[in-house]
Amino acid sequence: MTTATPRTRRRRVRWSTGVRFLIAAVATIGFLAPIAWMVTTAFKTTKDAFSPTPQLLFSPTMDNFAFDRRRHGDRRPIRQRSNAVAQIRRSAWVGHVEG
Amino acid sequence: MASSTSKKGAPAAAMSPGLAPRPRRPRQVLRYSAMFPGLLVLGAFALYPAVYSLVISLFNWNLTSPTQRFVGLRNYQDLLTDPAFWHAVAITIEFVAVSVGIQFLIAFGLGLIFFRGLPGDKVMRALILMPMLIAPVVVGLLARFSLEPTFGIVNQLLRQLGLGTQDFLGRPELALPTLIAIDVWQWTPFLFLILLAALQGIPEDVIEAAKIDGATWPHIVWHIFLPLLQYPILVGLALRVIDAFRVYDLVFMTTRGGPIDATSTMSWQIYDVGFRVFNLSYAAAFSWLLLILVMVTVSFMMRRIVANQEDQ
Repeated sequence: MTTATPRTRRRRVRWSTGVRFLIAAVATIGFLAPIAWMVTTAFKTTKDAFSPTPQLLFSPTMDNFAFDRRRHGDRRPIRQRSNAVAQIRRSAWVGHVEG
Repeated sequence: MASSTSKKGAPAAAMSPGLAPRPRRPRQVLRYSAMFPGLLVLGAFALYPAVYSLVISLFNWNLTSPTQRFVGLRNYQDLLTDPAFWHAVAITIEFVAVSVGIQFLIAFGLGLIFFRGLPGDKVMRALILMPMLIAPVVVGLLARFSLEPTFGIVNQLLRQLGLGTQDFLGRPELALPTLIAIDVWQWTPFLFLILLAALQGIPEDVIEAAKIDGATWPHIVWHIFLPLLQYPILVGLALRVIDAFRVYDLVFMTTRGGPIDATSTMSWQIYDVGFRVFNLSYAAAFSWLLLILVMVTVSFMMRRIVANQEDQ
């Protein structure tokens, strides 16, 4: 009997920590998910990035991080370059020019 | 103020009776010449543009017309009778109040969850802070990309859950709540950071004493934490309110004030009037009214801190 009280008390503390951990983990995932999606998009091809079904499994490409003048050239249509970073830069630029 | 300086001045003079009074001039020359570079920068980059915008707000300067003339307070008068202006004020206040309110609730709740330590809390804290580190322009683009009806990830998930497609940024009644949600996502971490630091600064014995007196956690939060943390809370909220009033980049990247005028906040309308209609004077007057609104709001929030300082 004498040992029962501290044991239940310790359990209750652990339980509440567990709930707090769970909420914290859910919040962390919620704040992180869009960023994770953005980062994975950076490794996708245009086809995967603009696919109407979520592409969770895709073969990652590093193309978007490379600037190869011979391969991309200056004549390559802008739409064919699926590059998260360049896309962002481009949109900002287009917005800037349009505005 | 005046009495405190004379008090300080008196003992200083009494302490050095043997010394001859120093010649005033060279010291003052030194003082002002040392201040000069700072004053120059301040004047060139803060004072001059502010005064200049005040001046052009009194003219009818439109970039499309070669002439400009002084019209006095006409621009302000036009603004105050313009329904579009009051619409922008209402939209902006709704955006600020709802967005900062939700941010505070989530941030304070998360702070309460985090402040006594958790397994892996350092990692989670660092990860939660990440949205804050992304440029708002990128956040806007990310939002537009993921909320797009056909290939956006959010709508894909909604469809898989059987909830149907929603054009979040394209429907007038959804656009402002969507912008608020994006702002909450990006800026809750900022308040969380401030409130967590404040909560961790509360001495443990205060909590212990309250517990011995039989206080439950809701009691402790309501009657001890909130009064104890009123200054950090107010400062954090004020920073967020100032920032939210100026929201522009997010609107620019997502809705451009639309659909129709559902998200045309004051900053957006200032840009619209100034750089798309080219009515610079009207935009300048608009900016001054926004500045006055922000200053009134913030000083209203800060009056408690200011009042306490004057007591001391």
